[in-house]
Amino acid sequence: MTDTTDNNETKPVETALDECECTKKCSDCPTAEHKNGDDEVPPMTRNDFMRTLFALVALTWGGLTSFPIFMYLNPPAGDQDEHSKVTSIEVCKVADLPPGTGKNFRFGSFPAVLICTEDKQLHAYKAICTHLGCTVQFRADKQNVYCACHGGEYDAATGKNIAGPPPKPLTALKAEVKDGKIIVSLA
Amino acid sequence: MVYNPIVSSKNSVEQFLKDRLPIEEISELAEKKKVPIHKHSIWYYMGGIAGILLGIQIVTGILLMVYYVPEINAAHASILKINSQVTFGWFIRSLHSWSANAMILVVIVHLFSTYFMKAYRKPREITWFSGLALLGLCLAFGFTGYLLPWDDVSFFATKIGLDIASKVPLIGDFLSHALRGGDAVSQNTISRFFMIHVAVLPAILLVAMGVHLLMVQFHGISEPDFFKKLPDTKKTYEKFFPQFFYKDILVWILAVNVLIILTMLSPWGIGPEADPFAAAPIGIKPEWYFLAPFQFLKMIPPMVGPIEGELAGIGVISLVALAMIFIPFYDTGESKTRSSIATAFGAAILIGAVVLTLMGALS
Repeated sequence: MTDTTDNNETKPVETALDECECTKKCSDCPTAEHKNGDDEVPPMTRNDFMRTLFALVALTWGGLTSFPIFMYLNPPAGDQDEHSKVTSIEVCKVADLPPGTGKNFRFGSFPAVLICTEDKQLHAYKAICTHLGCTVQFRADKQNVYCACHGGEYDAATGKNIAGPPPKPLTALKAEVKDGKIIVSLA
Repeated sequence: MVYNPIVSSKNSVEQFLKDRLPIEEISELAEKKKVPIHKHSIWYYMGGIAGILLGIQIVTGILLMVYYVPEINAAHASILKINSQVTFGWFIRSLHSWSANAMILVVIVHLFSTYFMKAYRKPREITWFSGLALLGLCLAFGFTGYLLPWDDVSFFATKIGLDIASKVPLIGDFLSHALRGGDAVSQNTISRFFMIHVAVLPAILLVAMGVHLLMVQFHGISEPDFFKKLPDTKKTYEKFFPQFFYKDILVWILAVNVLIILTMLSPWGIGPEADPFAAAPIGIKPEWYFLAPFQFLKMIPPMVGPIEGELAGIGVISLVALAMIFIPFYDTGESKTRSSIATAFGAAILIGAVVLTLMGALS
């Protein structure tokens, strides 16, 4: 019984099988089915070792070469909008937003909606539908916030999802009046 | 015998190629293919029509790149220029859009006709997989190309599509972020989609199409069960080269004529330029081939038990896609019951998709 040698790497298994059948002494047998104990692992041949090593090296090499590609696909931080730092914005004059109307505007890096409900209360939200990210709008005919993409509806006064597929309420922003102008800021 | 310089040169060229390429083996392989003639033979033309439409896509796509500018402030204007200022620009662009839509329709018809003729069974599983991959590629072409004109509908379609992708467990966020090139649909998205549309997808398509055609060539054209059961004396065939091929050419000419008539009667327009901060326009809908999943996601409630509605919806759509992929292993042709179940499943998917598409179109 022998393991692999430099000169002969393929024959040892055959030898081992023969030995198993003839000698009934299977303790050194490299094939699991010929062993008395079921859970013993056969020793790795030099051939198997080299194959496994090659696969590991290939995987590592592949991983290393794809790393720069993955990193390259991430846009540099400079590409991310400077506008994302905005925390407060002047939207319009109070007189420009009569009761029962709404207005979409840009709040830094995202769209937002400002609403003056019929009881003259101001409400502002991130205009991003919580369903699949479409930009919502205030609909005067329904007096609520509406997403045209999948028909989601939100209550204008609370931002709560009231119809359609949206799973969550809109994210609220703070709206206040200063010197006759409406200022919206992060809540 | 009179010396004919044309015949002589032709012979020399033929000899030159014969000495260097396996011409005889190739022509033997081509001549081997025969087309069964039966009441459903018409469906055998679909693959060829898809092929000619792809050819139109490639030519018109290359021509569009002459004027199209993949830049956020210029993309919409460049399409307007192609549509209104460039001579025959409207024609090339409309032809590109019409043939893209027609190609997706023909590929879907091809898919279901092969499905119901059970052409996915052994030994044609690889043909089936590569065909599904080609349909996936067509949809990917549609999705990436749709954004390029940068009009309001295309902007929101991309936004929703990438948001749906982000819901895929584990890899969704990475995938949508990498495709979008950040958190918002922007210049990065246009650059990436343009690159994917004109370079990455065509390269993958060539490989998938090569595999698909090679498999068809290896296994020959599939015969439906009722035809296989006929006695040999009642089976009729025609040679692919040249008989069926000539008919194919006629069908291609017909298809191209229909396409040109559509292009002339209804040139493809363009919506207002995308404004990433404006509200989604009322009545916005995706292209017809995404209407079924669109309508399905619209109808699904916010929560399905403990799972978010859209995640459950994506799960169901993925399961249907997986079932379509693995159908050759389920319906191997050995069991009649399984065969009937597979047919019923295909019919349910087809009817469901048509109904959802109509509901989406009419809503």
